Amino acid sequence: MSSRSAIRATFHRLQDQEISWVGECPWTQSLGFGCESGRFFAETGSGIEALDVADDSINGVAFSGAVATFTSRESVTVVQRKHGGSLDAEPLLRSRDGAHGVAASRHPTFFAAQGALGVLAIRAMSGKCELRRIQRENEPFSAYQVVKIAQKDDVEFYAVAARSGGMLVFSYRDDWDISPARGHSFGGHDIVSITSLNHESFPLGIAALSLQGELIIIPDVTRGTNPGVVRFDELAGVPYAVSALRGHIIVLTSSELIVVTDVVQPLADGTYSNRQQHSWVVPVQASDIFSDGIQRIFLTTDGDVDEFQVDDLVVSGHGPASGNGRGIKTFEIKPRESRFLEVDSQWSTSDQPLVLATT
Amino acid sequence: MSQGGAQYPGPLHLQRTSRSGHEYFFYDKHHRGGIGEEAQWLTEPDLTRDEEFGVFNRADLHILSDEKGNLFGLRERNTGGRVPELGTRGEQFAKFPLAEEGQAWHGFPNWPIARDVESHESRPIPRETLRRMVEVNLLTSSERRRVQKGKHI
Repeated sequence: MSSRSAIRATFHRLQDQEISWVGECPWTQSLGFGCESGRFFAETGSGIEALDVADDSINGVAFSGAVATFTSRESVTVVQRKHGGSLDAEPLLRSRDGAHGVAASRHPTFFAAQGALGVLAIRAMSGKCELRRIQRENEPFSAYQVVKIAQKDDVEFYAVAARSGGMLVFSYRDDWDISPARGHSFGGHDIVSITSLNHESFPLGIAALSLQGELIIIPDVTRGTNPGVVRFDELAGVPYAVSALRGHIIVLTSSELIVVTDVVQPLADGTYSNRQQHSWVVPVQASDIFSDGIQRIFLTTDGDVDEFQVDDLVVSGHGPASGNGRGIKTFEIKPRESRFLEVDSQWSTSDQPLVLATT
Repeated sequence: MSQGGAQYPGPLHLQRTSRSGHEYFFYDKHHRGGIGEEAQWLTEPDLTRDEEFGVFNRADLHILSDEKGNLFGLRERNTGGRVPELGTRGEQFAKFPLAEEGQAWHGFPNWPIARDVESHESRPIPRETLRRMVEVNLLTSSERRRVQKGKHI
């Protein structure tokens, strides 16, 4: 852990476009790219196709079968695919309320984070959309991000990052059954990003990142067990987002990408102690981070996308070149001995009823 | 409240903007604190009236306007390099609607995403204004991209 090395990333670039979102496109079984132009691109068997879905930067994309939802600051757009293997689709809904992002159910249902308006639930049925708005009774919150945590039998669990309102968890079953599960507040911590732990030992676990630099690990969001709440003692820049992959936690700030290795297990099962922690740091000015939840992470930088394999980052670089003709970039990667400082958190958890308004 | 012969629903600031000489008043309905239907400025000690006027002054100084002449502003960075919030919902930007000729301006925290509910439409900062903020070094390119997605910086 003493020398710097290099890590290679595959970069993706779209001509005359600036990429604002990246992720898997199940319609084409290729990577899909949302752009600042409001267009969504994916590679199909006949080349690159585009779909016009917004007038501003796309900040969220979610697919559920033949239906997809795209969000931007200015709109929420729902479309239905006309036929397989392409992006050819017809619009079902275009809302002039913007959103911070969107998550999809396996049913044709979507949940869009709409700030002080709460969460917009959209169910697409028979070519039409039914809408409901999710708010918290007597205590409005700002819905900043919605994440699907897990599926247990026929119940899906979602977590909402609610900024200073903490985090809200709800469950969803088919037939439009949305139920409150639990609200978590973290003593005023401003929760700006959440992620599933993506860890088989903690299927209902999440990691939350606060603007103050705390990392909060909850092994089961449906229970009131104590979370691991820790603070980085060396966190440069403004905390932007968190991802969790293969037992590692990845934090993006305004000035660096930090990969904290093998930290999920000890934090989630409570065996963590105030110890030195290995991590790797990539100095980078990226605007956002995305992951496939398995092994790939994507950074949006200067309108392009840099794709990393998390295992490459963890083993200090020199991973296999995964270039597919799109190009290779090299990043400096530095080791860091971080130390988590345990935080005396004031947090609470309670069952809180939701208000569901049908529109 | 009467200030200098004009009627404004809030106190008039003593200074005018350095570039255009605009007057500014603190609209009562945006200074009640807490979370309400109307956007609310942070209150002292988190944000002083002088600081609020400073946001407007810089918006005017750097001509951070949209095509209609509305101005948009942000606070000076703190010691950690972050753009502090200025609104009670965590807003980091403010909007100053174009005032009629000879009238004082006012402003309020601007929502990061569009809202199109009855009687209360609100649109986020236009892309062109964000690019202007990058040109005059108030935002980095990465920050501009995030704000354009409705994200915090």
